[in-house]
Amino acid sequence: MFSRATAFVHDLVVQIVILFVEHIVFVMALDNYHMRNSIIYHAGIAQGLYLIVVFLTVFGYYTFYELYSNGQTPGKKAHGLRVVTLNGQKIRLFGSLLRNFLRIADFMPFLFMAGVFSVLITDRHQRIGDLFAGTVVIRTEDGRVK
Amino acid sequence: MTLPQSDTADQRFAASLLNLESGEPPRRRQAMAFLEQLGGLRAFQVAASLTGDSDQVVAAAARRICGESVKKGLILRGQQQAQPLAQTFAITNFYQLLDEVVFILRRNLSGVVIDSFLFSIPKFAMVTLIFLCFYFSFLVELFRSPWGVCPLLFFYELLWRPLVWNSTGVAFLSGFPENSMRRQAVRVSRTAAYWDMVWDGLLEGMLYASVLSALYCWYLGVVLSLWPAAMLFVVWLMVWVGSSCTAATRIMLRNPDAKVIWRSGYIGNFWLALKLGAVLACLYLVVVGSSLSLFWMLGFADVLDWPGLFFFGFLIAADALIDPFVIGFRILLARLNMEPGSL
Repeated sequence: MFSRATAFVHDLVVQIVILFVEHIVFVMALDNYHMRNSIIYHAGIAQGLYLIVVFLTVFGYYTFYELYSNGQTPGKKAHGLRVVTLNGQKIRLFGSLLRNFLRIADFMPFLFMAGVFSVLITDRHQRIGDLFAGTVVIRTEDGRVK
Repeated sequence: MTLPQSDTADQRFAASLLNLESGEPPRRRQAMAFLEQLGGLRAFQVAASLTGDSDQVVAAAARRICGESVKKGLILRGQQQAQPLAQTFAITNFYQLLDEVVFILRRNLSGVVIDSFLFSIPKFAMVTLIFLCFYFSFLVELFRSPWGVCPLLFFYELLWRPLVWNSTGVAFLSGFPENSMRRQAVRVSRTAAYWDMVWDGLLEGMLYASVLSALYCWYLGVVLSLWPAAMLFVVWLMVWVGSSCTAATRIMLRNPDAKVIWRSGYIGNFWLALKLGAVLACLYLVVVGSSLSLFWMLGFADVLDWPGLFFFGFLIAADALIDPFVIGFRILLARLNMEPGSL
């Protein structure tokens, strides 16, 4: 539970850095290409695109790494954790999307209390997203934090 | 066509398995010849499944391999007595240590929950009284006087707290995978152990209750400065760091005179204790924040505007929930720092 929480904080820091870079790029693009006076800006298209990028960064981050990095986000890799399906197979797109969208349910009512409770009482230490997606977080033999 | 001869025995063994699966008699016979030449447990395991093969040459070779292997004293894996899997895991960092506490708690979750609930009744009673201040004004008067709350703090820390250690600690010990610890859980619940714990924790408990009382007096405005609380805190910390025998070790020692490598309750693990403090701060934030959010969701939109006393109520409730984890952590840490023979 605590390794998962630490891995989450690790990933959160990475996401904040990415979001920060994206924000700088967005502001620079607006200013350098004089987009603030353009129709794209006034119609809200640029802001909408920016929000889509933010959304993809926040939710797509986990799905991307779980699919293309063997079920391990950078945080999970650093703490020797991996997401797999209940029968030990690699997680698939639908499962990954489901478990990550349901982070909202795990967050309720505040700071993942529902997720913590779910991890405590389920046999395989699954949060709500894991229960719905049929996935489980396992400990790998490598990737120890010194 | 046969597979090319490989350089290493492993590769040749793998190639012979492919040959055996091919279904072509010449390839299968060649593979058996290689296995006969190779010998050992791997060849024995493969040959054992081929003694009844339809190809008589292959079956004969398989029987020869089995006979030679048995003469050498080899035993097939399936014939060995079933061994339970080792349930060991090396703890390599602080967070895995915390995970281990959760793992042990979960092994006797109902016992820990029931015990901690029963012995948290004074805390829950206090929380109930605080929340009843909404409806009964005389309760507000009770909490406005330090003489109402401070004696309760002393009573809890000096006399009730060892009882919590004795009960919740024993429930935690029952969840240990280690037999010796579970056996210890049966024997520590006794009156003598309770009084030992009372005497062991007397000084630390008095100082801790004094810190809390000083803080409460400051909250009430009876004491205008935080300095008394700060000074008491420093003294308490010094005693806490240097305490020579804590309830955590007391609860596990079969022989109270046994040598304990971990002399101090905390001095050898001071940084771990600080890390635990940071983690506990986060846990308190999660529990108190969740409680406030739940109240807000239930329609108490002004929950953040409630008097400060109610915040103490949330904090005490959170403390009751987190306490078993803290007790478990200290017992596990004490166990990891003790000589195995001292149990």
